[in-house]
Amino acid sequence: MTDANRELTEITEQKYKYGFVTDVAEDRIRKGLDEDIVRLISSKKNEPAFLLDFRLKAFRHWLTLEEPTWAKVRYNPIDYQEIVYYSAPKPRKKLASMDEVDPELREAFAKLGIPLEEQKRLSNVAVDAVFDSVSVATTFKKKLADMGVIFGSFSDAVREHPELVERYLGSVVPYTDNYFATLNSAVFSDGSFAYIPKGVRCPMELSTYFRINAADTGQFERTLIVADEGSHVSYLEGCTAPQRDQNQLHAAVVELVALDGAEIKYSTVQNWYPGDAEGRGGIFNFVTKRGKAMKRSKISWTQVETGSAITWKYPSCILQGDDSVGEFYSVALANHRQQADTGTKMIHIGKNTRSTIVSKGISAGHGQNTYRGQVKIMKGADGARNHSQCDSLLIGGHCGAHTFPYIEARNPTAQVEHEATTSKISEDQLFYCRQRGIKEEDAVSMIVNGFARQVLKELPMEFAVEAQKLLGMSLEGSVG
Amino acid sequence: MNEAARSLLAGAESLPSAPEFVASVRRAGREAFEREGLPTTRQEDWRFTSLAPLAAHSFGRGDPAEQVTPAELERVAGKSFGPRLVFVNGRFDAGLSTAHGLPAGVHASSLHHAIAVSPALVERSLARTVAVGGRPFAALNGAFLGDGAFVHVDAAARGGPVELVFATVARDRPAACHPRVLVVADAGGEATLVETYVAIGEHPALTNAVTEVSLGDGARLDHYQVQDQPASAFHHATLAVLQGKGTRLSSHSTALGGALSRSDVLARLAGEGAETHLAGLYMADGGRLVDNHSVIEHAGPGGTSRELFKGILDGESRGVFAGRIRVLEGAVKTDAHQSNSNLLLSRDAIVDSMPQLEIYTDEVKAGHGGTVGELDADALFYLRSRGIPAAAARGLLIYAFAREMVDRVAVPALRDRLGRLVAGRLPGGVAILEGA
Repeated sequence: MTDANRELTEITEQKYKYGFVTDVAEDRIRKGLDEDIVRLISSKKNEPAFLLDFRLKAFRHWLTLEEPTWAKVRYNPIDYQEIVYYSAPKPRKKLASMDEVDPELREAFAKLGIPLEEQKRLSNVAVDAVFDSVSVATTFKKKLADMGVIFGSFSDAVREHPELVERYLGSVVPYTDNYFATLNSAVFSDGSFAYIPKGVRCPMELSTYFRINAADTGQFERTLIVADEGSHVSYLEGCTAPQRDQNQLHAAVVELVALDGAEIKYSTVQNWYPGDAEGRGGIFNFVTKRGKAMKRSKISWTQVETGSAITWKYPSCILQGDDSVGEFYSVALANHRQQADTGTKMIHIGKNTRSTIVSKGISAGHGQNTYRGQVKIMKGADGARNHSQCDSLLIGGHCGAHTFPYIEARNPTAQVEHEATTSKISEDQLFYCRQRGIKEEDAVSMIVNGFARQVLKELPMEFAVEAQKLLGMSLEGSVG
Repeated sequence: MNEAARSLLAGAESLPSAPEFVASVRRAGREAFEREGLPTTRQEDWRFTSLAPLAAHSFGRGDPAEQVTPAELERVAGKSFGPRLVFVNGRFDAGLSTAHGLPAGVHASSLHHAIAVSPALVERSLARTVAVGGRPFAALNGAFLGDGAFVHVDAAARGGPVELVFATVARDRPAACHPRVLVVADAGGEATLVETYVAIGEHPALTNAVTEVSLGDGARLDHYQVQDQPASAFHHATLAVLQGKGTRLSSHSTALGGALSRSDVLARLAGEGAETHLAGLYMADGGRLVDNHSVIEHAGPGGTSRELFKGILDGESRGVFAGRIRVLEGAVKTDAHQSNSNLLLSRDAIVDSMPQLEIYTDEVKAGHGGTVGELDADALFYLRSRGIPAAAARGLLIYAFAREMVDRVAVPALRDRLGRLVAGRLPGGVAILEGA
């Protein structure tokens, strides 16, 4: 066995360090999906009528849809009746402060590397943690409230600001959007909500941590962020799940609304359990993320996708307002038997709209990594500009890297450019590093990080470190 | 099967009898087409190309007995620049053809003739490179298999161009023709082949051609397709190539006419060290649609492929490009690149471009690029500031964009013809070529 092979094997056998299960009492409903379940979820959350309506319309529409098959991913059919659509840690009592959060939960979050208190004290990050289906604690609520920023669980927002939720829910991702988004619209249990008032620059980064804990549950969270005129917010999202043999479904919806002159920066480090080396278990991550950008506003998506057995995710921007800007920076890694079909859509509607796409795919083992992206220049989008760069790095002879861009131009003044490359780690680069006494695995790690740097540098500090570690963990020393 | 599909298949049952290996190709084609019918935009491969305008006509099979005068032919296909085989509604027309000057080692005849005199050779290669499932037009072509061209390039062949002209004649009703070209090159053989597609008559003509090419080890083929049909015509061309070890295919297509023109290229680099060069120029105006699909499949190690398609779209026309490079596991040391550039000349023109990479091995170098844009305003201003009228300046710049594709043609007479055909469609006309 060569060094390279041995190192590859070591990585293959590397354990998923977030694979623990937390023993917390849960409040869960029976398996399966029908109209009663939808009503039950809504009633458990004491929702207003408009929301139950929204759910029921979505559910009835979902019944008419077929699961999409166009993505370049293969998996056994999902039995939607075998899923528990609502599971929440059972509250021991009403929580008055952070300190009253279930100690086991707190410990779970500590294992995840997001000790709430630490974060609160040291990093100045406001965290909303969604454990299975409900949001358990939100830090810094008070400090944010002083500035008029609303940040908390989706359920709280429904209770406290129903008018905002009603106005913006489904305004970017309508309940008819696609199979998984429609399912989410019917059964979503919780998620995060943020509203940044006019002209406010959110004083700290907002953050949500998602975790699927219970077995057989799906997680269907819904995030809605509204940045009012001239405001600015940076939002971070992290995800993990315990190690289980069965696949678990995660079908989230994220809607961003950037009103005139606003800016939303949305960063994700996705590290759901990817399944084992043979492809058993792991999360099906079927997510719809989309932002609507009004005049002079900007929406920027940054994602580091290292987990999940299957990723089906296309964070998109509808550049509706003139002079609006969309960005998509992505690092997606598919190792073992992971399959990722991910990319973005940039829909240019307004004049002088600009978009940038930088996608870096890394494939190793038997992983299949697909970039699928659409750049659509509508007829009225005079002077629109897009530049896309999609690079793939292959490590080993059994993986796949695929690039499927769709360029749809309907305006002659638009300038659209797409470039893509596929290559393996260059032997010259490796040799150069080795020659200077750098260990092979360090050299590979350096090269991979260099490959992904353009994206990683877009991440906020706290996440950049975590993302780099994640990439390193999965790929150190793997030489094709 | 809907009405349009049924009318397309009409007559397939009553073709003159043929040897069993031909009959079985017909049967397979007919069954596949009956099963699948005409594709819809719900199918990924046809997402941007609606066949509704085609389905609006009821095409009968073009009459093989149709006559075309030499003057008529020259008007649409230009003068011949060497040996030329002419096919009218699929039937070989000896009177219009000139076999004189065929290069040594290149044997070109009608497919009908080849089936009769060397059935074993034809059988070995016929319908081997293109599967009919999922390719309804290839299936339809198979269903009507009867005539077309057979070109056998033997090991010693070196040389000059052979032109095949296919005229679909629709004088008094919409007519369809399904010509088949079979090219077999023995190991080491080299040839240049030009396929010219034209249509004659007042009514819409549908030409549905399939060209199959098998290249033995070390063989080389320079292949050209020129589609210059009236704006009422429909055109579908499938080019399927199987490449052995060390082969070189250069395929160059020019799509200038047709209400709807679609080309499907499938090149499989099966042998080690095979090389494929695909080039295409497409121009459309009015409400026309031109679509280029290609799949280059690297199955053997050490292959090289280069693909460049350029489109010029005016009026309310639509250009579609979908090029896929597939590098299979084991096709190590593949070097592949593809590119698609589009020039939009009007506010209503549309481009859909999908350059695609599908890579299953790590030891590769693969890349693609795509651009869409309009004429460079600075360049226009520069020309105008030198006293060149706006229209002529536009013509010059458009020609400059297209010229790279014209220049790639290695046959001088064909290069001149294409240059004139392209420039003739631009403001300023062929005068652009003076001093070019």
